[in-house]
Amino acid sequence: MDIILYILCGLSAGLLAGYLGLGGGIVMVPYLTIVTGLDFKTAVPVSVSAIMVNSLAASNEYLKKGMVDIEMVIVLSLFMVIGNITGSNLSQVIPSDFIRLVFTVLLIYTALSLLKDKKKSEQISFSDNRMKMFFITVVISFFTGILAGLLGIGGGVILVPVLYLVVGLPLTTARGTSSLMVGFSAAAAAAVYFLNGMIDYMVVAPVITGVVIGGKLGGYLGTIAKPKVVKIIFVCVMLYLAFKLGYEPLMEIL
Amino acid sequence: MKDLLFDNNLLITFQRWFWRITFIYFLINTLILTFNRSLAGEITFWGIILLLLGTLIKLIIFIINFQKIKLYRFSILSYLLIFILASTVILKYWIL
Repeated sequence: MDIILYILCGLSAGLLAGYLGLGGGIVMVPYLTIVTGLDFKTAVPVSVSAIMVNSLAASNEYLKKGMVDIEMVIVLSLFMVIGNITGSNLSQVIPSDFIRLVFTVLLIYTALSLLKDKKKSEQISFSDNRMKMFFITVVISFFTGILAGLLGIGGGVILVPVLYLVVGLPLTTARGTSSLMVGFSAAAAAAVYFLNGMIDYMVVAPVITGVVIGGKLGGYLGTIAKPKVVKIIFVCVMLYLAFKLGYEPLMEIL
Repeated sequence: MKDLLFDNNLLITFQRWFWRITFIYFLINTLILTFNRSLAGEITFWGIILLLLGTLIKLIIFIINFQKIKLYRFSILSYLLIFILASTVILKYWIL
């Protein structure tokens, strides 16, 4: 019975993430914590393992269209991986409730950013600032890595706006570049969790299976229809997850 | 922009096949999980190692491509990335 629940959990997280064009971690971790009752610190390593697989399919779509800035991938991945290793090691000493609260803030931010009119923002074009903004981008990549390792997310939710608004890459290239980078950073986090014996082997396989199928279905759904109502429903689901995830630790603090 | 000369095909082919293999691997693993949990646990253990090896191969593909188009700075950065990932494993597994 547990296995079916894990598959369904991965499936719905993959569906939602694929439909909205997210990496998956932002949905997977709260789903696993709330729906299956897994401990937050068990859900995070499962999530990073699944992100590694998800990044393969997602980045390939962008690579085929030449929408990946390979130079940026290598340079920023380096700093993101260092941040990721730091973050996943920090997760062992930072209290679970604090991480849950940080995740709640990130969920609310993601939900609100989904509500923005993308067509309007896609029309803005920026100049290529990679040299001018190099230092800032590197620092942000490092801290994104820490956050990604700590929360079990890919980090695309922070990387894409940075690559688009700060570096000045076109939005689709920013997404493609981020999708390939996420694979490397998730691998670094997975390696740390794996070596620390924190990966629950009974959960990983069904979740990966579900996420992969869900991701494909979600990606397909995204290409055929994107009604605003569905998007609003998804945003409500994310806000609900944020509430469920953050309520308990917040009450304990207050 | 030399990175425009970067040959994506090898990376795309590898990622496509690797994605298929890992999906089938974890699908079979899930089926095994229904009747033999300890064996499934063992298979998942090797599955994670497989995923990490896949990342290593991806980086090697990067190095090959960067050297082909004479972008040596970036091939050195790729080596550095391998070094960081490998040293994490070595430090944790053999030293700490």
